Amino acid sequence: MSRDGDILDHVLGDAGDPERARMADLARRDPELAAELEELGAIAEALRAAPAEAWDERRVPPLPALPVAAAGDDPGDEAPAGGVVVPLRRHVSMPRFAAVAASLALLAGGVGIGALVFGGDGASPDPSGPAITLQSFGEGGPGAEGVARPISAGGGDLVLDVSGLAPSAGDEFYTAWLIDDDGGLQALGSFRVPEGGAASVTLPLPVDLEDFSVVDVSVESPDGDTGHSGRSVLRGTIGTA
Amino acid sequence: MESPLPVTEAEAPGARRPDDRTVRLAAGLHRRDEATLAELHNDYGRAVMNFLRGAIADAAAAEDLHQEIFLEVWRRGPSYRPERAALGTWIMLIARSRTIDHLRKRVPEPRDPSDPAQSAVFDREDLSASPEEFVERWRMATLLGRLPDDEARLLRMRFHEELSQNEIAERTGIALGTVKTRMVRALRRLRDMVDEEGGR
Repeated sequence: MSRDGDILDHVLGDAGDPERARMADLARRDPELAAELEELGAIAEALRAAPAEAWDERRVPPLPALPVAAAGDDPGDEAPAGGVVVPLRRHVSMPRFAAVAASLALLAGGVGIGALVFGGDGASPDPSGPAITLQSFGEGGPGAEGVARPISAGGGDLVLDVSGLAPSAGDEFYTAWLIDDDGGLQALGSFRVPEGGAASVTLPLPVDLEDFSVVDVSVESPDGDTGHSGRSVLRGTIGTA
Repeated sequence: MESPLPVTEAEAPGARRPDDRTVRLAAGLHRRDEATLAELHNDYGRAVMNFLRGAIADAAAAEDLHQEIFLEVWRRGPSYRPERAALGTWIMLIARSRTIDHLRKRVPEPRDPSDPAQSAVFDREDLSASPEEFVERWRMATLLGRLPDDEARLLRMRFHEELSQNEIAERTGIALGTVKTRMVRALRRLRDMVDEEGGR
């Protein structure tokens, strides 16, 4: 059999005992062969671990029709698809440190953990990234405040601590968003706020925070509309903690 | 926002060094080149579709979402930064995010995941996993789309249908020696792609 055939049999686990022993002996004397067996073995293992649907051969839809850009348009100026443009308004300056401290005190006592609705696991790992201070905005009450911290600067999760919010009423819930300079939105996840008005949730952060300029928290109704309700309660500017 | 290009070595510590293909495609995305989008669609379209069909029961909705995702790839292209993530990773994270949005739209009421009876929307392993776990889980799927069809088909028979090499040779009518050659070549291609992405 060819050397490649022997390598394949070894990597796939198809080699018999004598062939395996012979290949192991060869690999001991040939570091390049040893490295290749290890590398290809890792690839084979990853293929075995791939989700079953990864192998499907369904029809792939064609590319969508692309918007026609006007001559001279700057490619970086267009909002992302699906993003709902929410005009940024001036922040409402409110006192904040006391309420955040109160929120953290409640959390330390095991009270005030928000019920996560969508987008994360509700756990509260230690945040390590720069803090983003959220202030009352729009429909947020005078005591509404929050802090958002990425677990790692390059992505991962975002820990969101809020306080001073109205407890979630009826079927309403809160949603955390990122807004970029063009008004494009990225929903991070939704949560409910219990009595007491404070919550701490951990949300997946599948994008680079540096691509966005604002963290926003809105009140949403279960009306089937995935867009921003326009009812913001908190906002904070990224990079100005 | 910071301009994503040109790519320099003066990046944050831990930044990956993109391979030539990624740099070329990133440049195409930045200038909104339709041929670049077509190449990405060819390379990653199946992985995205397979993920969507696993997450969304409605085939028509999955097809609509697939188009929305590639439209977003095109529109967000200028902000793609190759030193941050491989193209497949970036595209699959967009797909995951849009799918979560879609499922959220389909559920009429907010749900409390602490109540197992209400957490069906995130029963899908792909959506309940962290983004890192999700990317790792779908990594090979994004690379398979870049293999020649004949090689990908042989790997599918082996790793998905769990056929032996002899069974593959019988089914395809290809000589066993050729099956072995093509399969080991495919594994090496995947190894090289992983190396290019800096992930091994």
